[in-house]
Amino acid sequence: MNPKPLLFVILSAITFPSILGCNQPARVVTDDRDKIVSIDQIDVQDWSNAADQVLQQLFASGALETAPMKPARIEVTRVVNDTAQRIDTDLLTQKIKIALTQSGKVVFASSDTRANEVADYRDFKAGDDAPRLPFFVINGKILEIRSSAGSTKQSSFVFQLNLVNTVESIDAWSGEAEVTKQGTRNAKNSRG
Amino acid sequence: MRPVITRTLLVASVLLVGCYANTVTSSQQIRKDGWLASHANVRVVRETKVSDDLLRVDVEVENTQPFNSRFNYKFEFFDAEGRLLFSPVSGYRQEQVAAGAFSTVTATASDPRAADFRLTLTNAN
Amino acid sequence: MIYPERRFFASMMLVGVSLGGIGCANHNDRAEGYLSALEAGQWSEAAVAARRVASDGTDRNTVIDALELGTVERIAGEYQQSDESLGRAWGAMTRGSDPDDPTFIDILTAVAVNERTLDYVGSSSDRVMCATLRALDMLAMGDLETARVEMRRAQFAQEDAEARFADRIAKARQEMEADHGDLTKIEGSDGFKTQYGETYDGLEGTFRPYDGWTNPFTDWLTAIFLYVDGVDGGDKNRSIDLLRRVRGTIGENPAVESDLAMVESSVVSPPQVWLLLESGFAPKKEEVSFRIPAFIPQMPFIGIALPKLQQVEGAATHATIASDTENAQTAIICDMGSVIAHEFQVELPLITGRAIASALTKAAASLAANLTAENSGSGWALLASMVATNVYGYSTTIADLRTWRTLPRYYAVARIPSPADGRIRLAGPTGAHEIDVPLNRNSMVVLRSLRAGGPASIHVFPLDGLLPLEDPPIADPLIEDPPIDVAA
Repeated sequence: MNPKPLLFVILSAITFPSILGCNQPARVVTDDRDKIVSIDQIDVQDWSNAADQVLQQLFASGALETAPMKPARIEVTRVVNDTAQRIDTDLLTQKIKIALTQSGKVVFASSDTRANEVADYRDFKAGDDAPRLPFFVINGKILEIRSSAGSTKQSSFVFQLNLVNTVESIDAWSGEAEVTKQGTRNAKNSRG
Repeated sequence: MRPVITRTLLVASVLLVGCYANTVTSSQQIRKDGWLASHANVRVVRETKVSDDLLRVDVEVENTQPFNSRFNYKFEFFDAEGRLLFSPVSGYRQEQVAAGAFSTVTATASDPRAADFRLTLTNAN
Repeated sequence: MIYPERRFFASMMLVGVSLGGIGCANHNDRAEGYLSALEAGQWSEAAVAARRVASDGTDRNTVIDALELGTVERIAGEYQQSDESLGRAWGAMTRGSDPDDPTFIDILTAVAVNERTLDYVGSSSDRVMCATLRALDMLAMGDLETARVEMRRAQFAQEDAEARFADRIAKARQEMEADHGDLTKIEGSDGFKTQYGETYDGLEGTFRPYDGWTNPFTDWLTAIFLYVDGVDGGDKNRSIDLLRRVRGTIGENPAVESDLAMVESSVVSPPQVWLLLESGFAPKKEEVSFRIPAFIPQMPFIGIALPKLQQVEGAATHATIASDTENAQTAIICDMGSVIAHEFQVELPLITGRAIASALTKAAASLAANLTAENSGSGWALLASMVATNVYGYSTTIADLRTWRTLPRYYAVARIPSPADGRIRLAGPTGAHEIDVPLNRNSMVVLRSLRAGGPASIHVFPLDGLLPLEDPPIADPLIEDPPIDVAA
């Protein structure tokens, strides 16, 4: 047997899979550990992490129990994005809304214009002219701090939230979460 | 370390620390892999209620290795019937723990129906 | 065996191939269309011309063309398009040339036969101004959230410049010296030093480069934004710090002192109107040629071409803003020449190093071609070689003249309380105009004047994130011949 075709087959068998191995077909990622970790951006898992941290602080504070009525009416006013990323802060506030609503301690005022019109009309028909005022208001700020040492870059994102008691106009609770990422380049996952 | 000794140590440490409503959980509640299986001691598990009716869990993890380590962890909560409760903030978090040191990981269920939990600890080194 | 004739033709082919890459118009010529349209006050035509240049398929100019286009679109009031163009430039600058990327030094030290064939990667001040202009676009569109993000980017870009850009430039120069042993010898020669001194000694006096990497306009705009959109003590403190830094960069300035007093005050001020005058054009680059010693026996002298910064004259230095009860004159808070000249000064050793290294490489190639022709024994071949290598050397000794031309020369500001009737009058060398500003709201009037006595584009927008106003009629002069005040 001529050895050349055999050699060709063996070489092809070795090189073909290794070429294939360089390409990664698209897949759905459900495990946080397989999600990309960017150094200078807030990744999808960071929002969940930050929301978890501040929610734990809020629940532990007992501030939600200070409302005279349960569930207390609450509104998110503004979460200022003070980072260098064009992001939607709803990625944080929506998670907080879901968790707080789930706890049964508060109800969120809707920002839907039509819903408000209908509610106003119903109140009018019922002869109720009292405005629907929130007992609590949530506001906050997301900050970014960058630093570097040699080729290692570090970004810290600080998530600050306040729960304001609107009757007394005082901060009933203030919480803060921090996510810090460091490295020379982005990583495909956080499995190490 | 043998399971019997581990449990004894666990109970002993809980009794030493025990200040409020502590519960020692069964080993099924905490799952470990990688270096954690052999070199992470779960020292204390505390289950308390915060904000009146929400289950909070604090777990102390000890790194018995002679070097700093990193691990991922995830809490899940279940209702009294063992059904998984949805949480918008569940997912893996990462924690660093120095050689021979402790790290406390915590979680609070946002659903008052939470009656039990599961903690998964996985290697991130 | 390779015959001498074949070697000769091979050398000539190489020269020919290199000549093929020469046909690159300089940036000043490419920008001529939109600069003329701007000078004539034809804003939309200028945007069309800039779009035509940006789509001519020269990838190496992607960044500079997008920066110019975004600036022209902004002048034309096309904010969304401006943001997209500047966003394209930002993306290319941050992806393609991150100072932290190990390949960044390679980009800086790249020696080409023709400097214009290299990709324009954007200077540090380009990055700062790109983000700053995007912030202004967002303010004009009433998107305060995104404006804040862009201002953060501009601040980070400034920090980058201080922490990394300067360091990378110094390292690139060191690498270049290690790669080209004759570099320091040539630069130390009397012939080089004399011509260098004649060309660049006046830089300090003409441009008065700022001491440091911060851009006072970016700092001022961020400070004012944090004042009007401040949500907490952190914003207020940053606003104060930035205004103090502006004062540190440019010295005592009436407009900055006035803004600082207002921001520091514990008394809440009534709504204000800021006039932001963007005047003239930023410096351009012109080419200067040197004949310098090469320390090659057969070729004692070589030619190099270097860029020289040149002021674009004719910018108005001020404007006035008045209501029925108040008036103020603008004060210059940023001279873009001083910003650009600072970076140019830092980069100059790298620019000269690249030009000399390129000239030496070309000299060696020409010498090899001529020697081969000489060895072939053909008089015609030698003559042809000498002509071709001379043409090659001459036509590739070209400086890179790319710089952001459509930026203004001056940023000047003034402020008065928002008038009760909403009517303000602008006057001075930028022309006389009467316009309406939002009632009882903080607002900004952006007056883009291309030259004293020339056309001006005026845009007004509130600074509270609510819907912007319709633009006022542009350049509606009350006085036919405004007084001419040409900058020195």
